[in-house]
Amino acid sequence: MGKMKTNFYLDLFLVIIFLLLMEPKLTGVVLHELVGLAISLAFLTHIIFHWKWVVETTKKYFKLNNRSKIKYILDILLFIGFITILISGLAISKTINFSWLNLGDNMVMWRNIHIASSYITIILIGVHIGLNWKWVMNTSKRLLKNNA
Amino acid sequence: MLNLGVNMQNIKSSNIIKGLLIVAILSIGIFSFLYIDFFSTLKSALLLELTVEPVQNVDFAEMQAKKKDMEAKIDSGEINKEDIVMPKGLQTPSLTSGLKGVLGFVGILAFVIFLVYYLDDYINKQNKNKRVLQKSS
Repeated sequence: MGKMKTNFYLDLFLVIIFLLLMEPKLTGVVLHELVGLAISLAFLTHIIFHWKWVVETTKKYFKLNNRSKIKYILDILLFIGFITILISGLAISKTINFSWLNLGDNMVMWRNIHIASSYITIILIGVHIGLNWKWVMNTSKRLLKNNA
Repeated sequence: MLNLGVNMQNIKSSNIIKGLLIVAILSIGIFSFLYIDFFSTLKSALLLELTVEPVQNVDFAEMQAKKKDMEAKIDSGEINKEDIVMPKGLQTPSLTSGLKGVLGFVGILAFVIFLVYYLDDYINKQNKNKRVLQKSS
């Protein structure tokens, strides 16, 4: 229950923060960039928590049913989405100097990539949650019962 | 009794609530997509058409210097702050319009979750029925 609880709250936290970051007008650029960096660490923690699943699923990919295959491919796309958001975010950062990363200075291109990847990723997040909705509902019910 | 071609007594109130919820989420989702201008922004970004950055190919230090210069001009009254058209991401934070934007994305997320969940559920039920039919035959 402990690990499940941590997973659930971490995932909930990731979704809420991601939604808040979708609108830099709300937070301002400075907070947007700092929280964006922090959420990247939370995202890495999410992957570490699910690393066993990643390894096992990769090993038996061809034996999986279609639904699991779709979920696996979706998770890979989500990973690519988050990494793209992070890298493009570093490239256009105005608060912290990441010029040492030598990501090039075409800010227009990087900004377009940042926006496009975040728009696509929010749809992928929706699909990811939709496919795991039963788990979300069951876990929240169990947590509510335990808290009551 | 009102006759709409269906037996009204067979319709449970939970189904009505479910139906209303479906309509509400679909409406909120469609409204959110339109409000955020989701598809046109995404299309422009994918085609690298968004030119929200005023200056291209500048380094970080140069950009910071320009920002400070602009702030100094605003402070001295040389430039009126309201006359500056800022790119969307660089606008002054605003709780009201920012929250509206976030709510738009919440609507989009709810719409996608709902659509995927029902589609997934429908496909699962179809597969189950198929298996039952195959077993019985």
